[in-house]
Amino acid sequence: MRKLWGLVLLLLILLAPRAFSQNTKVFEVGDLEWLKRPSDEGGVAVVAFRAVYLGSVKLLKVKVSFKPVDKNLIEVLSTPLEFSTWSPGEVKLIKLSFRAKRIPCNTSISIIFSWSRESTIQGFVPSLSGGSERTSLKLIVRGEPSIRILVKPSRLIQGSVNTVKILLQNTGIGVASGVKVTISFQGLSVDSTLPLVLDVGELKKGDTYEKTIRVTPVSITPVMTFLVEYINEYGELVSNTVVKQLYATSGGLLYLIPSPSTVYSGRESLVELKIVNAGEVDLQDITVRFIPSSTLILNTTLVKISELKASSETSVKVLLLVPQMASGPQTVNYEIMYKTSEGTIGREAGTIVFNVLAVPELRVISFDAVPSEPKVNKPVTVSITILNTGASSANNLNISLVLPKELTALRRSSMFIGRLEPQIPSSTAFSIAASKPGEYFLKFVIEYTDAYGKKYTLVKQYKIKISEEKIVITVERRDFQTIFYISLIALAAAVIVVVLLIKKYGVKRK
Amino acid sequence: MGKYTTAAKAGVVAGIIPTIVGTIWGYYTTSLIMEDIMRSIAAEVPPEALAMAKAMMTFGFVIGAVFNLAFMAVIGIVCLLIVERLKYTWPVKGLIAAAIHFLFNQGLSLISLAFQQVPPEVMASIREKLGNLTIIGYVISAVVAIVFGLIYAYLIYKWLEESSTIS
Repeated sequence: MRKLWGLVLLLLILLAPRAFSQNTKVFEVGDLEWLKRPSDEGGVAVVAFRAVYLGSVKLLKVKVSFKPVDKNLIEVLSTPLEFSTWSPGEVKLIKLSFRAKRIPCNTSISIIFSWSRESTIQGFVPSLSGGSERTSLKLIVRGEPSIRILVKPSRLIQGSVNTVKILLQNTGIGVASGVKVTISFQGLSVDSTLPLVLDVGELKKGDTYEKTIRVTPVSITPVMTFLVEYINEYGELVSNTVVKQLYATSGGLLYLIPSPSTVYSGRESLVELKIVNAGEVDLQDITVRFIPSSTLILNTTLVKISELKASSETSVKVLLLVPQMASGPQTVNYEIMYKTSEGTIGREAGTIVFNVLAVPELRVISFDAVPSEPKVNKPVTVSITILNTGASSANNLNISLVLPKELTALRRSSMFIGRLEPQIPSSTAFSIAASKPGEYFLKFVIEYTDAYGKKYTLVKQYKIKISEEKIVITVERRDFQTIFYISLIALAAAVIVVVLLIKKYGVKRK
Repeated sequence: MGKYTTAAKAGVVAGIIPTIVGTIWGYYTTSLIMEDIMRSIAAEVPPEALAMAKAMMTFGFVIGAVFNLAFMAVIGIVCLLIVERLKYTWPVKGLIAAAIHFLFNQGLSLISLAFQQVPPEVMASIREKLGNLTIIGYVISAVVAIVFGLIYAYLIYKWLEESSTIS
């Protein structure tokens, strides 16, 4: 009996400290808050929750680790957390990130609290007092809707009625319920009640909703403000405000670009006119009317195009007549009428600018050699006459004569003339002599520049025949016989008169 | 009025017809050789330049006619100096005055040619072109000299001799 009592006492002595420090180790988690919802399957989510320790002793070196219940649904990204102490009743905020592999899904994450020491409140630290506790955090993962708003076109025509298409699209992965869009306008006159409220209803993933309204810009920078309200799959009311800045211009949706834009005066040029639709809407029934210019002449005044897509261009070819006197920038005004795909009729005016270049153009209009049949070692005067048939003066005009070795320039082989005005001929003569008879080519090199400094070279060759025959100048024979006879008759008459007078008055004076 | 003044006056009056005829003849012959003369200056002669040269030539001949009348006055005085001492009738004196006029005119032509810078090849061309006109020129020169001499001698006879100043 005494032995029995002794054994009981020993057990009491051994178990008393543990029984005395017996801890009710309870962890509770809750107050889940989404810090980031997954945007798509595979997206990362972050949640925050609170954990409370409801034990009776203080825990030391507490480690919190996470483990998904179903690894096919989520993948925990957070690493285990460690706290140095955790007092009874203390609440700690824990943030957990994970990857949502499937949306929507309902799952849980096991949260394992483990500690290596525990102590009384007073700080007694017995050895071998570690432990662990497990609880779970329930997760309901749903897709998040995302309502995007698109307004077409973003550029409006000022002062005209524009048809504007409002496009709502759920680009998220969740369902938006009870979607309601309230639109208010600034700088736009709208033919509907204000504010414009769109009861869209439900927008599932990828759903779109279109609404067409007719507006008239009264400002160059009109603004449309959208208040989008809907309920997401978590049952939360989401409210977003979207401001869409538009701009209205007086024109510029359509414009014409000439190619080439540089033409030459006094000529006709085939010009390709590019009609560019710089807007965002397709245009139809385009009519381009060219307003007659006082200087430039187009071979057509009307061009029609059935359709022109947005941000595209087409081209027409026109013949442009440029008068001789025109130079510098010359303009052709035009007016374009068109109809947009939404039915808006637009009208724009514009100007095409052509840069007219007036360039000189020299031509050799005559070549002459005197005498016409030159002789060896006799001087021959060769001359050319050049005419500027261009529209501007030729500058730095220089004429050089390139001779074969058998011919020699007697005085000069080049002549600097300088400036030659349009329609003014200029003659230059060179004196040469040949050492041998034969046929030779004289090469005249005519160099000049235009008003822009561009250099031109004109080369002309003429053949000259040198012979050893005597120079015979062609003489225009005239019939001088009549004059000769008249003069002889006059002389005879004079002689007769003299003879008669002498006969009458005698020779010697009496 | 002195006798030399009268002689000069007679020379001018007698020289009117020869001057007119000589001017017309000179204009005609010069027109024929004008293009060759111009080509001796420039190889290419624009039609405008030729027309301008002819206009200048016409003006020159008008001025030349005036000078020729003054020259006639000098010839009139020279002729008076020669014929006043001769005891011939006025037609014979007219022939002598005609010879003086002819010689003076030819001498003047030779002098003017000597002062002109005409290239030899151009001169050859001119001679070729004028051809028989040179002979005709001499004949006409002789005719106008006779006309001048007769009119001159007659006027001298009327104004000086008939008033017994000389005779």
